This record gives sequence, structure tokens and C-alpha cells, in this order.
Amino acid sequence: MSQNKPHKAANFILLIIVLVWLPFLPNYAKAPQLHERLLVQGIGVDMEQGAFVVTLQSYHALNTGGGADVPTEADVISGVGNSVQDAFSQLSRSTGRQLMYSQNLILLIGEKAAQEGITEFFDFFIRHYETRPSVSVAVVRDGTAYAAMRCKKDDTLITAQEIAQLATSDSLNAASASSMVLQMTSDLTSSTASPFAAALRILEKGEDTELQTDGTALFLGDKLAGYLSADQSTGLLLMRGEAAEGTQVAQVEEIGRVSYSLTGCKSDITVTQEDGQPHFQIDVSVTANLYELDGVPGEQLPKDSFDRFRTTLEHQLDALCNQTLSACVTEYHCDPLNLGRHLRNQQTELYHKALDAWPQILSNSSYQVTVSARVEQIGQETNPHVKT
Amino acid sequence: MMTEKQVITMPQLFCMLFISRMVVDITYTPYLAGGGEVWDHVLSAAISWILTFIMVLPVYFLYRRQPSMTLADQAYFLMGKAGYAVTAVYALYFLIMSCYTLSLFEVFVTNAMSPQISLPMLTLAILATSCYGAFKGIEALARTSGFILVVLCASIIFLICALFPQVDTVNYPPFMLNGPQQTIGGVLLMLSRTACIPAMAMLLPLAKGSAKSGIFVWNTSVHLLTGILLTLMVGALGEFLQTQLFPVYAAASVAEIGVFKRMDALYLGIWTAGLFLKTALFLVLFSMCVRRIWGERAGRVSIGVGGVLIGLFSLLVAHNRFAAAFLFDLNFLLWCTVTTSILLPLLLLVVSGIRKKHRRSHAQT
Repeated sequence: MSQNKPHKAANFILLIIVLVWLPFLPNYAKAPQLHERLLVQGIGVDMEQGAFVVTLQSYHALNTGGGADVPTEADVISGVGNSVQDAFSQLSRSTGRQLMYSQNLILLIGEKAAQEGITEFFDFFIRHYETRPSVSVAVVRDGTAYAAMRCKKDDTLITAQEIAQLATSDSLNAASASSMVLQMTSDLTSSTASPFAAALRILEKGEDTELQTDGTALFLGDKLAGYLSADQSTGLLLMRGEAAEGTQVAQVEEIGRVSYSLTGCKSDITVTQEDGQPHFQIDVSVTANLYELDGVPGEQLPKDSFDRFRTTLEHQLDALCNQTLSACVTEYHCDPLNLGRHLRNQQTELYHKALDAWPQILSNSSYQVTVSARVEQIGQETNPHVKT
Repeated sequence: MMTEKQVITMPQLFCMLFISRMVVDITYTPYLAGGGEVWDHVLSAAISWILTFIMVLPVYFLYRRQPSMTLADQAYFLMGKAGYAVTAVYALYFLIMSCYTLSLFEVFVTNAMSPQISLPMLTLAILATSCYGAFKGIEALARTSGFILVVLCASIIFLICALFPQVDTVNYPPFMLNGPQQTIGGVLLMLSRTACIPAMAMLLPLAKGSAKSGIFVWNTSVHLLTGILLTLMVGALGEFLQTQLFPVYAAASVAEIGVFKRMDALYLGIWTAGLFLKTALFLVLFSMCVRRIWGERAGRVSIGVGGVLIGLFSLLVAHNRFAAAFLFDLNFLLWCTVTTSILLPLLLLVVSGIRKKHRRSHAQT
């Protein structure tokens, strides 16, 4: 017992020395404190005459610690450089603070930069140790990220958080297909897949400049190929099996206008060979609820009204999917539907042969889309009554 | 004849070895196997599982021959002073594997976490705690491993639950899409990192319980978890993994359940705890080898000396490409592991067999 006492005393002294010495370690002394850093929440990238223009929405760390009634105003700053990283370091020259990228929510790409090719600057968002692969990506249609980052509504800056919510609003309305850095990188790395991202448009309404989703931007390789409209974006999400929400309005015979609320969908793509070329069978199954019908409340509807609702929706979605497919494959030669990956998984030999001329193979392949719909809930109103 | 006292249980031993192996898997990088295709490494995990059972046989038979003697003791008993050369090889191997693990961890921290971090300070912090843990002995490490195992398992379960909903089956290509090279490379990488087999050669006599069931559970759990993690990572992240130096960390940074997101910094803490345990355990093994050759006092001093050597060499690896290429070379590591897992134990078994034959022929005459 007495032999342990000096041992314990030595341990205690050692512990005190370590605790006192620790704060003076070089890293602790030199490490930038939070108040010396600029929290970046939104990054916009444009290209002008070969130079990169980056626009940041950032918060000063000191301003973010207040209570609910303390306004936290974002700063919007822009910098120019020979690369994205060069532009960022130009910004630190004007702000005197180190940028902190780990809180970034959205990457906005100006249309010109998207047309030049996103691999010109995308590497930074994959390689830098502070950047995160779950950051949302969007393209500014007919505009610049510089302007989009400065949009104001009722004289209040539209925050990066709101822009990120807009860019990921496909889960609410299926009017655009959202993407993240992770997904875009995966598609860029793939030999066949085409990246895509939500498209945002700047709308001028008097003194306000609002942002609104406007379809989906499609890329061929790393360059912007074109845009899908809001309806075509719904078709894209349906065929990818990702349309969790959305509204379809259709005219049903003898009933009138019906609004379907999509509640979920599944997609199954089967690949076979026909005359040495791939044949893609795309089966989409959709579930929908009805929350709005034309007519007087309580009005009786035909006995086969449910069948009519279902078949009308199927025809409408079938036409929509075919239109989307035509736009992607024939018009833009893009593969945002993972058709190449399905070919790789199901017809590996054909896939290897198709790799060298994938865009041509994509155009020459045959496609068939089949949509099956199920109308489930009809809300709290008691119709459709069924005529007996 | 030197015999070892059983101071820990078999579950405790394999708990330590499980943590040691999972630390290696967490800093898993397919580029050390010669390529970026992660999916084929799921097949590699299955093949590696079978081959590990075969690799462990010489050590197991050697243990069965004399359950109370470590490999170092048996080497001396069977070969006399020539056995010290065998023990020295194991001592060197344990140092090399500690350097390898620490160097890989440093590469991971400086590239994926924080380049500004002071490598000497990081190395000093890890090695100081590891030396302290090693000095406390195998029983202290065994008790600590219980806590680390709980936290490690919780983090792995969280990772699995968070990644599962993000899986898209279209991300799974056929196995060996571009040939068998990736699968073979993956098998060689996994086998080369199986430093737990030489560790077993020294530790089994210290543990009470059934070695057979322990080996089975350890091997199966390690490779099953590796397979599950790789499957989920490929399903959730797809070709994105090919762009990442440390895919498991990339997966941890996107894993989220509700408000629990961006947990990568927390994972770093858990992994560092595992690294501490592995380094401390291998310092204990190193000191056991030194003790066998030069005695008790030398064994105690060797913990600090071993720590210094590991620190210096891992810092050299971080700043010197030649040293890094040497240490991270797959063939070099594989030969070291094969030598200590299979060749040297086989040699001892052969010598034992020859001595038995001589004794029998003597007895007959």
C-alpha cells in the first residue's frame, strides 16, 4: 500500500503537467478561433472571360450566437480568381477572416459556368477537407449565381438556407429534380450516366428579385446540355422512382377536372437485347390520392369512376414519361435515368460493347414505358358516390 | 521452461483483436490494393474470411502443442538461442504494423480532417497514451477494450442504420466487371493487414477459454462487418467512392438519421480510441518479445523505446515518399504477415515434429 502512494503521486503530478502544458501546444495557440472565421452557407460560381467569380453568403460567427430576436444578417461577398480556390483566397484578403466551408448548404452554378463545363471547378468541392458531399447543387437558368445570391424578397435577402430548400423542393412538388455534390460526382465518374441538377430562375417582380424553381438542368458529360420543363422533371422523377409528391391535373370523361396528389412511385427498368441493341422496358407504378374534383359537393359520380380516375392518370403519366424520355435521349443525348447502369447490371457484355459509342447507342435503343396507377384515398368528403 | 499465466479471458482477447482489426478497416483505402473499385472487395472479404481460417492453422496448432507457452517461448524451447532470431522477427513485425497503422491514421487525419494539425503533437499524444496503456499491462487493456467495443459497435450500428435507407440497388455492378484484378488485390490487402494472427501467437497462452470458438467468432464478425459496410457504402454512394481516399469516412460524413448528422468528428474520436488500443496492444507484444530475449527490465524499457521508434518512423513516412512507398507497399506487408502467420509457425511445428521423432527413436533404442 505504501509503495503505491509515490506511484499515485507521480501520476497526479504528470496529469497536472499535461493539463497545464496542453493549452500552450502550438496548435491550440495558433488555431483560428470561431470568431476569426467566416461561416459560409452558400457558394455561387460563375465564369466570366475565363476567370472564376465566386459569390458567398456568409455569416460572421459572432452574429450567430444571439437569441431568437437577434437578427442574423448574411453578408454577400464576391471574389474573382484564376480558380475557385484562388477566388476564395481573394475573399479572405478583403474580409480578413478564414472561410469555413463545412456549413455550406448550397452550390449555385451560373448558366455560363455550367456551359463551360463544371469539371473546371467541381474538384474543389470533392477534394477540400472541409467541403461535404451532401451539399445541394442547382443551376441558375438564364442568369448568374452572383445575381441569384443577391435576390431579395420584401427587401430581405433570400438566405442560402431558403435557396437550398428551393433546390431540394422536388420532395414537395416533383417540379424539378434535385441533386447533391455526391450524386453529381457519381454521375460524372460514371461512363454512361448524365448529371442533373435543379434549375432556378430569377424573377423580377417590381423591386424584388425572387428565385423560383424552373425545371431541371441536364448535363452531357460535364457541360450543360439543356433543361427539362417542370412537367418533364416530374416524368424524370417518376422514371427514377423518386416522385414522392406532386400534382397532376387531368380531364376525366363525364366527371371533369380532377387533381391527383401523387404520394409515391416505384420504377423498375429491365434491359433486354433486340437485334444487338438494348431494349429498355421502364415500368412505373404510381399511387395517388384525390383531393379536388370538379362538380357540386355530394354529386353522384359514375360507377366506374375509380377506373376512369386510374386510366386517365395512367395515360397522362405515360405520355409525360415518353415526352421526357424523348427529350433526354433524342434531344439532349443524356442519360439521367441510369439506363447505362441498368445495362451494365443486366447485360454486361452488351454494356462493354456500348461503352465506346454510348450516346449513339442511347439514341438507337428502343424504349417502352408502362405506367400503372392506383388511386387510394379520396379525402374526407363523401363522394364519389357510386351510382347503384 | 517459461510458461505464461492466464490473466485475461478469450472473449477479452478477441475483443481487443476485433477492435484492432476494425481500426484498420476504418482507414481502409482501396488504392492500396491497386485500384478504386470498392464493390469487388465485398467478394474479397468473403474469400479473405476463408483464407484467414487457413492462415491461422499453424498458429493454432502451435498453441495446441503447448497451450501455456507463447510462440517466443516455444521458439526458444525448440531451437535454443536460434529461437531468439524468430522472436526478433516478431518484435520487428509488431513495430512495423504499429507504424503502418499510425502512419495511415496520420495520412487520414491530415488529408481528410485537418491539414493544419501538428503531426508530431498528434503522434506524441497517441504514443504517450499507448505507452502508458502498454505499461499498465494486458489486463488493463483488456478491460478498456470492453468500453471501446461498446462505443465502436454503437457507431457501426448507427452507420449501418443511416446508410441503409440511402441504398440504391442500381449502384451495384456485377462482381468482377473489369476482371478479377480488384478482387485479388482486395484479398491480398485484407490478408496483409491481418496482424491479429501473429498477435494470437503471443496472446493465446495468456487467455483462458476456448480458442477455437474465439477465432471463429472473431474472423466471422470482422469479415461480415467489412462486407456489410462495403455493401452499404457502395449502395449509398456509388461511383463517388472511387474519388475518395478514405471511403468509410466519406460514408460517415453523409450518414444521418433525423437530427443526428455530420457525425464524422465523433467518429474520429471513436476511431482514435481504437487506434490507442491497437498501438498499446502491439507495444505490449513488442515488449513480450524483448523480454523473452533480454529479460524483464529490458521488456519494461522496450515499451518506451518501441514508442519512440514507432513515432520517429511514422513521422518519417509522413514526410518521405520513399519511406511511405516502402511501408505501404502491398507485397512487403503481405510477405511480413505471411512470414509471421504461416512460415515461422510452420517452421516451429516442423522442428517440433523432428524433435518428437528423435525422442521416439531414442526411446526405442
